[in-house]
Amino acid sequence: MLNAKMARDSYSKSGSSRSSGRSSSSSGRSSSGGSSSRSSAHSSTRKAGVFRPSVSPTANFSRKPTEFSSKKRRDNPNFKKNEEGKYEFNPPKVKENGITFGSQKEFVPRGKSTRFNVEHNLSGDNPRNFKQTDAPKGGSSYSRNSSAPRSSPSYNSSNESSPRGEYSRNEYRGESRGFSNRNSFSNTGGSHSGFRSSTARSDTRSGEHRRDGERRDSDRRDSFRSTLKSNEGTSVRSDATRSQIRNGFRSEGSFSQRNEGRFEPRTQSDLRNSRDVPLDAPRNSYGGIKAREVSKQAFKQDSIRQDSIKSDSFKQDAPAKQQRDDFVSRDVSPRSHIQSSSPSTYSRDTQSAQNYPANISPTRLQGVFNFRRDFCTKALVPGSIYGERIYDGYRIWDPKRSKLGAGIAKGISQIGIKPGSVVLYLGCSTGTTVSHVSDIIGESGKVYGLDVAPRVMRDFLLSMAPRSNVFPIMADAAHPQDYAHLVEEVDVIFMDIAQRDQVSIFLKNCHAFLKPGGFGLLSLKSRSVDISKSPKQIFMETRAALEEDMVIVDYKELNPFEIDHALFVCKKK
Amino acid sequence: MKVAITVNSKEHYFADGRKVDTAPSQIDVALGSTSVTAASRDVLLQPSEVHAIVTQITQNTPKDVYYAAVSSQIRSSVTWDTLVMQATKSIDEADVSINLLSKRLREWFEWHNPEFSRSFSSHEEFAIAVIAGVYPQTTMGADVSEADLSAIFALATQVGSLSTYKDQTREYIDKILRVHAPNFTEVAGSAVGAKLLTSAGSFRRLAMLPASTIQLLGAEKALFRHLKTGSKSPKYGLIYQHNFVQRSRKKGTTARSLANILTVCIRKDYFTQNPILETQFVEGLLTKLR
Repeated sequence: MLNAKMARDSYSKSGSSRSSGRSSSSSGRSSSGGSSSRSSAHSSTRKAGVFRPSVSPTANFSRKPTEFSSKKRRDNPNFKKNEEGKYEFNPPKVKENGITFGSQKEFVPRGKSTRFNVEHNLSGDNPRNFKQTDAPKGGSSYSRNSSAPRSSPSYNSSNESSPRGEYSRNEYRGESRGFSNRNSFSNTGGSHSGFRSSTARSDTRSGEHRRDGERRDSDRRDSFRSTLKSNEGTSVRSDATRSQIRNGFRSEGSFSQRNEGRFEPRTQSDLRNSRDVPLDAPRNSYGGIKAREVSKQAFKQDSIRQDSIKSDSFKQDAPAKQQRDDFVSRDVSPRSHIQSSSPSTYSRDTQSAQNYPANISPTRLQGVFNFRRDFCTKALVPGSIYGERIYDGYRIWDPKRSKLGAGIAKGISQIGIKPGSVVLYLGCSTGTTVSHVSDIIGESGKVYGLDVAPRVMRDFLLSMAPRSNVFPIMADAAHPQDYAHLVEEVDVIFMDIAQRDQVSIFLKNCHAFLKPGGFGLLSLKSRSVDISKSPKQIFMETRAALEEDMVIVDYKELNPFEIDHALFVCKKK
Repeated sequence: MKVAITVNSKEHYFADGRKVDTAPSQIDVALGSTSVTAASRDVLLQPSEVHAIVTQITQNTPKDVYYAAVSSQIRSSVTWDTLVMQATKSIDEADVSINLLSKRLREWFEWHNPEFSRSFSSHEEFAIAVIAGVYPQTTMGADVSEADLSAIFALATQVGSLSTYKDQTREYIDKILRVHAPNFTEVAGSAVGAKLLTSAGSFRRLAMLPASTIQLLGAEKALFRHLKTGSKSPKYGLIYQHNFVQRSRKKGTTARSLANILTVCIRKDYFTQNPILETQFVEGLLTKLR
């Protein structure tokens, strides 16, 4: 009897947030554990497993389900009582940095609130608000921070320790720190938050000295993500928090570098996400700002600065950057991995810019061009290799057929391949991607295309024969000693072989052939490594394995072009 | 094509300058017309010097040498099993084509003589009977002209010749398999044997496979679904088509034992210089199964 009641009760209680994973699981627990104590069972029927002993459990059992709907509205800060005594949808206005959020068009999760930036009615009969004012002072990072004055956002690293208006429900209770962290770490399987939080953990493990404020901030971020994951996020978020959420939930991390708190957007994806790109800018078919527009901006900046990229004009983007540098290895200088920083290179590109055919414009990646919505390379030899379209001597690069092309379409910051490069391409197959690499490096470069399968080498030989910079090798990439006499020291190694021990083969080759400071590009197929593990987990493990010998510069997942693939861009130490 | 660089009798380096454990006794870097040979037992080369030699060779090597080397590698990679696998695949595709063309043939011919078409269940027999042209003329079908009939016969001839081609290719596969893998073919039969070979990818690979993998060759989809989602594991793959498994009541057990026997046989064939059929040996393996 009691059991059934509890089940019904939990069902109707969780009705407002039935989509939330934690809420539903906790209600399952409460209904199954019939003989467990009433208070614990009841507490799990309340808000998502959070223990709230202050409310009498018996009161809820006596309630009829019809009362809950009005209770929901009363609980909800987005609803306010009007003159007739009815609750109307009227979300609170929030002011942050002069930008007003919380208009009626804004999507606001129901029943959620933040303490810092929500100026809603604290009086009245809202028990949640009552609890907030009762929050314990001291003992949690939240409380310590809450005593600090709300500062206007500044874009140096000291901002890390200042409150950003984020608020974790778990944290604000005294006992919850450990719980929230544990929760986020245990959710590594397939969840974004797990992936990121483990990242933060490995940062700590690597012995990097971080200030206490940063550490706290990182932990807080983790718990914040775990909170978000369970759909218990805050109702209205500040600007910084918004970008944090966005970045925290991005399926791929973008690696940016930190230099005394100054951040420079240098990738296309950075520029696409940056706020100084107008919202009505033309979008390409992949949802980003049209790369051509981006490249125009980029080249404008480059021509102004010539020798080095300064971050001043991009300062507005800094808060978003700050959240994103979990992945950054900080022991490289911020400019060291940018290719071709010499003024001559830039000026050459900018001078020849007006000579391009219509619809063709350069991208930030040397040798790669925009053509309408697509990318292309200037054909070294006339003619189509794999059935691709050709426009005015430029071959369109199909991201669905080339993993490097997919990486570029996803906005990878750099590929290391530029005119004159010597490239070792492991797993060249029939030469779809190699043909574009051959286009990029031009006559002065070299690409060693290696594959073990005779069938694909047959096609490779025939299609690459007219290209003077392609050198085929038929050998197993797992045994570099077999072809060591055929390959010189190279600038770039690209690997696209679907093997279980792909990463170790990659490292072996990088060790053997890659020059110090050279780029290693690894296209990883997680399903080949282990089909039973989640791709996220494999990417995480790969990252850890790569970082022993390499510095990871960028990382992109290749969906929707390739499922469960990721492209790692590394630099040899 | 292989190269190993020996610095002295104890220290060996690869081209990249790394030490290796085993290597022959001299520097022998040969690539097409360019070659450097230096007996260097007593000369100590620094890793950078080794690298310099290789870099010099590779940079001076014309592209054609790489192409020639890979061409010869491709040429030498073609073995009997490569060709047998192509033949096996062509039989499968001929089956598909015969089915497709026969359905059209029946559809076409049945306007002329539906009763005759319905009296054959096998497509191929029907096509051959049409070519023979002996069929009862009492029919509900329409009279058609000679020109129309000859067009129908042309299609029937194609189906018939495809059928003949299939038989010939089966014989060819059987002949080749019995030369290179007599014991394996004796147990598996040429049809299942050729399919297993095709699924494994090469004779060498098939010989290296464990019995459990041979049992599940051809059931990859079910296997990976099992590994991924924890659904039921497959009990047999292509081996299911074998007569023993077909007749058995305990198909899973039979498939497992048969895979064990096949593994023994294929290894015997692969690692023997000139394999011959050893009937006693095969029968000894098969007694338990029978």
